[in-house]
Amino acid sequence: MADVYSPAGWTAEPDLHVAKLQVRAARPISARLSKTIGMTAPKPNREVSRPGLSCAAIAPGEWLLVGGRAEVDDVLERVRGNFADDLFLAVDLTAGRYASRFSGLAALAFLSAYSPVDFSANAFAVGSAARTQLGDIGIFVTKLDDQPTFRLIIEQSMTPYFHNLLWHSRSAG
Amino acid sequence: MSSYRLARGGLVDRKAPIEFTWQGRTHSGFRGDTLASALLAEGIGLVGRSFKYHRPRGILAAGLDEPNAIVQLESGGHSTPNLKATYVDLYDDLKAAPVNARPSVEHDRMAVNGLFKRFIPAAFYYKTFMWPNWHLFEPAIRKAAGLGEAPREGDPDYYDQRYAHCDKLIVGGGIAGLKAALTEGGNGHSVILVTGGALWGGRYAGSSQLVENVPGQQWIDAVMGELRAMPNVIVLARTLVTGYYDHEMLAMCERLTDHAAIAARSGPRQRLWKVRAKEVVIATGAIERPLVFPGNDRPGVMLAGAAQTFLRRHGVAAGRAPVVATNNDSAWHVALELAAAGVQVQAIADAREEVDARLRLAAEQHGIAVKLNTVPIGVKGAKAMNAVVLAPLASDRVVGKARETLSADALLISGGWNPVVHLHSQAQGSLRLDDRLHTFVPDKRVQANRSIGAAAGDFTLSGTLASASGKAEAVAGTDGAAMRPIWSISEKDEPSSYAWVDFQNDVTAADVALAARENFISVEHLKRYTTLGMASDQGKTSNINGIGVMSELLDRPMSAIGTTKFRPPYDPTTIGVFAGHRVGEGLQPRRLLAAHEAHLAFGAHMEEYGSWMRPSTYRRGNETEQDAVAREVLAVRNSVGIFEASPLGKIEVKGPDAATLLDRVYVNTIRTLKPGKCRYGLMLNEHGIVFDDGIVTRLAEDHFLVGTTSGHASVIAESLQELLQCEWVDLQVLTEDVTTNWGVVNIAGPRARDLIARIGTDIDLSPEAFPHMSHIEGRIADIDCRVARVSFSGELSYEIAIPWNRAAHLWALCLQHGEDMGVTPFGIESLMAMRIEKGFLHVGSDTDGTTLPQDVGFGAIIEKKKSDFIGRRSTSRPDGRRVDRRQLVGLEALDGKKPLSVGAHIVPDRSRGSERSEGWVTSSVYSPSLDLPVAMAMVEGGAGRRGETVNVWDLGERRPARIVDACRYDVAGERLNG
Amino acid sequence: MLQIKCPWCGDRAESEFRCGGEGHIARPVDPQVSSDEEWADYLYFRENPKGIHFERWLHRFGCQRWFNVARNTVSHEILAIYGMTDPKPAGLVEVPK
Repeated sequence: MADVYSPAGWTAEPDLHVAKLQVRAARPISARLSKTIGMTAPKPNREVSRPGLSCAAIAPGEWLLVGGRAEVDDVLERVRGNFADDLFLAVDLTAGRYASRFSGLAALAFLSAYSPVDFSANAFAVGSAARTQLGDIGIFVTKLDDQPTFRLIIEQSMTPYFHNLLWHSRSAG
Repeated sequence: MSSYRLARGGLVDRKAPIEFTWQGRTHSGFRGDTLASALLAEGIGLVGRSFKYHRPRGILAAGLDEPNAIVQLESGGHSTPNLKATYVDLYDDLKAAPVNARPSVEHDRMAVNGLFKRFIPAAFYYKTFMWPNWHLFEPAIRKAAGLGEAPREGDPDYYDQRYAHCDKLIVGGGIAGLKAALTEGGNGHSVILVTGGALWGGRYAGSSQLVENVPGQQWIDAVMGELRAMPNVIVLARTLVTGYYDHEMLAMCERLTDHAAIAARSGPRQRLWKVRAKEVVIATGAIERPLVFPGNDRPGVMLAGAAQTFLRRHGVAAGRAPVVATNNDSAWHVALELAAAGVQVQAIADAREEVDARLRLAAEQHGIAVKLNTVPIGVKGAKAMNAVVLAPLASDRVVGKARETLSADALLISGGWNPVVHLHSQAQGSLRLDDRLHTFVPDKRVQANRSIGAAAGDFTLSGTLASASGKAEAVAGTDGAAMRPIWSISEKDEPSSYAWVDFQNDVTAADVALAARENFISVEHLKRYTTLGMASDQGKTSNINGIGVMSELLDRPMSAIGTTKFRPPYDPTTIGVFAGHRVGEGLQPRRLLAAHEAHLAFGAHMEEYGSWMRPSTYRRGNETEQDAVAREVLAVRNSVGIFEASPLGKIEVKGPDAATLLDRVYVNTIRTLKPGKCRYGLMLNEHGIVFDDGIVTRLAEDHFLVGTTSGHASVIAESLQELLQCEWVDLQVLTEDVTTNWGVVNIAGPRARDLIARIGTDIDLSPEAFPHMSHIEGRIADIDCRVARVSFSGELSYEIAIPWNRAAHLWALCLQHGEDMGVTPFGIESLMAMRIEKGFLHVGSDTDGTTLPQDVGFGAIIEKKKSDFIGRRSTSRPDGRRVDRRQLVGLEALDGKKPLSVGAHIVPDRSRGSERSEGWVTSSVYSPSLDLPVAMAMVEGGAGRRGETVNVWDLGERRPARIVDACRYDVAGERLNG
Repeated sequence: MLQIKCPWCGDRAESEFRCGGEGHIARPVDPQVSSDEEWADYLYFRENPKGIHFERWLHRFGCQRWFNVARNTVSHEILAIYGMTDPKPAGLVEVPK
């Protein structure tokens, strides 16, 4: 059946927690953000990681937090303290997202089939993060290693469509 | 039938014979053949019938410029119409037939059209079949004049697409493209090199002609070996660039399995490449022009360059005893190469009065007769050629009286060469007329590309290698002597009506003359009046000749006639490859509810609403939809029902200016809403048109939850951001669309409160603590929820938003704990029935692109609101102030129990003399609660016409109805309290 | 298909974006005092130049930010990309009406 097709190298990440932080502050927040996430804040379109937590800078004043439940909850808790004087909106999106990882050349072929972004090694290094289109839906892609392994996060109601795309590109590459 | 396969030569694998079927008869060829070369080798010269006159036609070209050999390949789902036999690689058990001949090319019953040819000139159809109506004649004409047939079965294949990025995209696998790829690859650039056909090397494939002192095919093999070893170079054969779009985006169709036997095919059939290049190198070569003379369309007449290709690639002679006719040097080399291969070339007729002495000497050494200032004026033989008639030129287009008839089985012609400027031109590059080549060559380029080699009009090998390796700019020119432009050859001053310009669309030189006489002289008019260049080959062999003929007739330079626009695709391309994954389930996302499986298990009848699959009803046994709606509605009205409302849009809006923003986007006043309270709100677009409605909830002083209609969440979220980013940049507001974070279970009915209490909650559900239109966050079944007491049914009703992945669990608890209450899942149709009973507006059903808020009862709210909001100004334009605007009302049928038809027109009583439509029914249902039909309608001045009897007209039937209030059920609204 | 350099995400394909039409059109501060003509002008009347066009785009599939673009409508060359609140870049000549 097309909607549950899963190729070799692809695995769902049902336990991954996802949250989005938006901050609109009058003064620079880089230092406070670094303190909040426990590592140096990422540059635009990059993701930084420590065990159990990754943080990607996805738009001006917007970060996506990805990781274990405790780590993500912990950051959200610290946001409330560290950004109390700023306008912020921190939302746990875990229930609204579908996360997976995909490794190998098949992963590259899959992304190239449906996304106009250049994911080749030269153009998209480890630690890169991009929001782009995958066929007719949106997707958030980060590169975890040089195999290459990509983390793919989509809106969860698009899961059947996502698996149909996986199935359709079964012999791409 | 004698074989035209030579004993030696060609790149075919003579140890790999292939059987194929042509017109139902079995033939054989070799691996490496095209269908065209295999047919030629078998001596099959008659391969098609022309489009309009059904004249017998043979193979003219060797590539995508072929206008005559148009075939239907295979049958059933694999059937593909209108392929060029010259571009179909031969495979085991291939089956093909010509497209335009019934029952066969030899016995085509429509050939009678040819006898009436002089009555069917250009524009004949336009002029003749105007009266009374073209559509009366169209079916018969389409049958007579048509190409292949579209397959009737579904496509058994699937198609890939992929994006690619490179520094240099090199289009064309000839010497120019190969040299360019070698150079750019060597420079370390990422390179994609493509060729449309199966073989590399272009016209040099299979040739021993020296390139950089190495025989052609050896040079090609060596270069391809080097390129394949470069990790930064991708080479793709059978990959045709079909279009050159903005900013160096090119589309290419790679044929992956078309060359394999059908039984041996696996994987996608074709792949659409969407390439973004930093620079495009156009090395697409050139196309030869036919000579235009009487009988030039007869089988056996072939382009000289095509004959050379069949010789080099396939070891096939176009004829055993051909005559060559030309106006330039290139065909001389073909004649000499054929002679060297053992073909008895009878003569070379050259329109020029003088030729290079070396060429003449070489021809004579091969025993080839040389006839100067001589052109063909006819060919003899009914279905196969047996002689060529030559005549001297008296002027540039009229021949003298002398005739010479030479026995020949083929006539190889060359009228000069046209660079393939299509991609340069698609990329908005301009063209200029070259005075020596008498054709258009690339001039100024607009995008990041360069044309090299023959595509740039450079027909010299040294120049091609120089421009390909980036050492020099390409310069148009040839090594040989100047050509003599001959555009059409005739026995009299008038262009001949038997001299074809466009073979595929049956356009003759006389047709061009007719267009000129009738003043259709611009190239765009010429094209549309005569259909020249409008066939599936898009005039590859005919456009320049057509311009040449017109230029001669008008005595104006060709540059003044101009060229038509070149548009993608370069060659007809499979629709499937453009569709790619967008077929079946991939056509558009199909989204499933949180408790999808539970709905199915409960017998839900699923339908698509927007992109969501949702239960319309849950039918039991033999229930009709109406039965199920009645059962579900009565359950809600009498006890309790549950409905999954997860697709309802939910957008968090937070910030000190959140209330200000929402006040500016809702018709309603939002700033006065208290935290914990909900309000129904209407949104307009800036044109004042009703755009969306929903419940807005104030979660905290600076935090709102905006509810939108299902499927509209992302649109509303995007428009809020557009306003924040583009209009009101100072507002301190953040938004987040959390629609699919939260599944929503709506529990409705007098026992709704009991059911939630039984499931277990820490929320005080008492009416005092949790009144209608309020919102509480709490726990239900130990899960954190957001609960709003709002109602779309008119009953006591709670909307429970619960993390999406827990919604199915809550749904199951509802069924379990409500079993003895008769808890009933209800679908969209039941919800719709209840909202129509209540007269609740449904945006998109009751409203359309002309509906203003005052039309649906919001006039008073607007009057009361002091501040501006999106669309407000538009509601007070003169059109918005008309008193006869259509307004939403209820309708009561006066003639029984059949519901009124949605879309039926409201017309005045006939006694008034007019039956002009005054509006229409927008919502209608049989009300289970009232046991009578209820409806809503938009009616001119409706609000002031309550009590009036009108006719409801539908498909000729008139039914009496009365205009009433939209709300028909529980008018006092008492049931909201349970 | 255009390639558009999103100020945040860099070069991306046109299919990721949505064109919002002509840029620099300010919503009247108090629409209620606009005449019908002024309001119609705001709603409906747009430049349609052969040449440089100033327009606003949304990187819908990317950072979801709006920005301004100056584009040649003949060659499709993108001459400038700048912020939503920035003025038209100096030096880009508008086609006279």
